[in-house]
Amino acid sequence: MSVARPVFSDGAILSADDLSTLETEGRGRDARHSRHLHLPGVGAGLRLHEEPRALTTGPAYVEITLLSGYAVDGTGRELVVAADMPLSPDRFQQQNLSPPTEPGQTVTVWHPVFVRGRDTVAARSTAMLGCQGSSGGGRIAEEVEIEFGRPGDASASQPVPAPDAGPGDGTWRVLVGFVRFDTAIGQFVKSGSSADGVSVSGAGARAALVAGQFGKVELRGQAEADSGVPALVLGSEPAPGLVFGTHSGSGAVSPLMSVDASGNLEIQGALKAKGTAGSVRVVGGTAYDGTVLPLPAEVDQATVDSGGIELVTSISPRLPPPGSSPSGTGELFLPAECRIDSARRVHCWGHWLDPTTGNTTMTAISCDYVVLAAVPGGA
Amino acid sequence: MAQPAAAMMTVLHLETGHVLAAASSGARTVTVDDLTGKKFLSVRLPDSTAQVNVTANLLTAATFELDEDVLGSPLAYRVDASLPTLAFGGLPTEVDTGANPQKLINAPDGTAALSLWQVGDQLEVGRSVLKGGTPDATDPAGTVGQLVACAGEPLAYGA
Repeated sequence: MSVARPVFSDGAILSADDLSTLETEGRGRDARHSRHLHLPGVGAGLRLHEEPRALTTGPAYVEITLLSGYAVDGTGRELVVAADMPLSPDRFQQQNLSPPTEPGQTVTVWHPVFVRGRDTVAARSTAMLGCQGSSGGGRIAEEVEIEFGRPGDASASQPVPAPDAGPGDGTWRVLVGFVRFDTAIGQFVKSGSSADGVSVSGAGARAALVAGQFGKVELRGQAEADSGVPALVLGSEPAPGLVFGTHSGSGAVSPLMSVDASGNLEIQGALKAKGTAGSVRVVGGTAYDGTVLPLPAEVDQATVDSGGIELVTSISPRLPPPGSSPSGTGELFLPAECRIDSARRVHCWGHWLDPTTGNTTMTAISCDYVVLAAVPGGA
Repeated sequence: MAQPAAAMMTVLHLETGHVLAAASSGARTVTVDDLTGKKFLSVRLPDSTAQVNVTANLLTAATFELDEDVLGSPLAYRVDASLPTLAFGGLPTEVDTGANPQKLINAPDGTAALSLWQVGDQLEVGRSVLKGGTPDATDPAGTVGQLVACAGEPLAYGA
């Protein structure tokens, strides 16, 4: 289906369908914009707020309220919560008949809380009817309702609409938080914005390019530029550069790290890295046959494997003193092999030779080793 | 003037206390993962070309003051939790585990025995008790080398 828009001509008689198409087309356009250029999630507010309470019999619980706000679902449908909405314990129990609880407790594991859209017919307007009219104008209220999911629902995938589709029917759910429920007292006892590795997600933007309008683009951790809020600023004034820092509270960012147009990096704190170009780390000692030579401190195998660090190793057999053979006679030791393989495993062994009989006995020995780990590059 | 810190070494041992390898690394403290590459320790059997690759999960690392004798022949030592130093456990002894064994482990019947069989590229692990000087267990087909560790006894091996 292609996207179409209504066209009118002078003198035409408009039907209710024509007028509805005006609204439907605009609503669909908004939804497609939200869906294709933004990511679903909470745009403002919609936090779970707790108020401590206690039953007359003593047990404590919390009343939880979803604060007013705005979200966009995955179909591009807007979800407007105009006023705070209390979370209903009864509704939780209706939607979770046998909620899983923590072992040995009556308190449930974290359950996700969603908002979703719901269309309801609102009161009719008082429009006068024409002679052909059978009904007056109406309204569809785009309401929002709270829904309690099951554990695991928060990370479940939801259907993706067709590219030309308008807003959904409200079945798409937006996560706004998590709750714990005490099945013994029938009340909520805790709320949170993350659980089991899943967090409430804010609405996002899809973009291949973000262009500054006044010579800079800023990313910061929250909408308000309060003092201490971290920010990343890419700007061209007064000189091209990239700055990471914290807001001072006056609109300026105090640089903690900056890069200028010549590539000069300036940082206010200490630099901690796997290693600086040209630096060398060393470990050395003695290792027995069959072991893997250790890497120097703070050098990991993954960095070596990726080529981020070059290794240089040197080993030599640690020859046992003459006469120290297990038999205790005047045997001589003849080294046979002393090497490391590609896994840095030591292969170090030889023979004890009895010069009087010519008999030999194979035995493993140790080696002395040095491992140098160098970061490539540098002057 | 402060005394220099004593040089240390790390040994890798089995649950029975038998040491299978030793290494020193200066001030660096090394782990089982460091000395096995997170895979295995290759134990060369005395007077044999056979090796038993003991997987890292069977090994424990322990740190002791550096001892040249231990670094030179670690298989003769064992860790004793009641002692601050390694105990000399005796040179490894050869054991026959097939039919009509001639070389036996000198320990009473019923002594717990940990058997590690190298079968091709795989390590097979068996826990049994001694019966007539050998583990009361059947060598897996294709065994190319084995270690037998009985607590309190020298490490035993068979090719």
